Amino acid sequence: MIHIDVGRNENKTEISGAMTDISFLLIIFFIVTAVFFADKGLFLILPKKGRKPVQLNPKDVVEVSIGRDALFLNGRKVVNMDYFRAVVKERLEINMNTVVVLNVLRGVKYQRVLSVIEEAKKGGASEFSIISLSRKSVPVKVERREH
Amino acid sequence: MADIAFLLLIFLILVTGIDEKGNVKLPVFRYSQKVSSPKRIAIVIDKSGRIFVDGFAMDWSRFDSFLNSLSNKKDIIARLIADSSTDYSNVDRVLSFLRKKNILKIVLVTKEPVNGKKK
Repeated sequence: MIHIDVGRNENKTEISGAMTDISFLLIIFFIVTAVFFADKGLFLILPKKGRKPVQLNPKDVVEVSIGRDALFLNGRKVVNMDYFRAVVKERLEINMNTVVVLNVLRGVKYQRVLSVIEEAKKGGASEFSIISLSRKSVPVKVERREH
Repeated sequence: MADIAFLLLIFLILVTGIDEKGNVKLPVFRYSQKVSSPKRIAIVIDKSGRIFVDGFAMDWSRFDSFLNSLSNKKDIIARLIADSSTDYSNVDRVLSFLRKKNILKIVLVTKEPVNGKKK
């Protein structure tokens, strides 16, 4: 008597189909939730350790002190950011190597510093030196990357 | 078909990453640039100034040891994901640590303003 087993492969097909569905669901999950390795932000290049402080000609410098609620440009309180931006733009038109020196006073929030950098960049500045109250000047170059 | 699906899945797992920002509220910056690099470290600074690397909170000495372990690697880009309302002195301190360890390329991760206006 010959015994023929007909239904043996049916289970394998069902399992394979279920695994494919699960794998596709996981793929969709990862596509939706994952983040690719590309950041958006402000790109900085710090100066090398041990590098001597750069002596800047006062004519090449726009010095601004950033307080919690106020901005001080060359010792004077600035009323609004438009004026600060206009000063930066004007100085850059005279001398394109102008460096914007930011003195960050105590208690200033991170967003505030970035807002000031943003205004300076709107005015065309690309070279910054950021001085935090207790630290030495760290000239920071903001690099433009073309894509 | 299942093989192709699993290959795609493995590819996606490898090339994407989990969002490390967590509860940090990113600062708004209009002139952000796209920066991508395979050699990156992510440093998160929360509102109170605590530092997290790879999801683990670190004190300054541990952070220093962690940076020492990277000293033999070249061309690393450090991603600084700091909360917008954290004190700038916390960010500055991390920058000075990075500079001491010769990690000179930094991305201050920001977000763009919505509809051209700051939030």
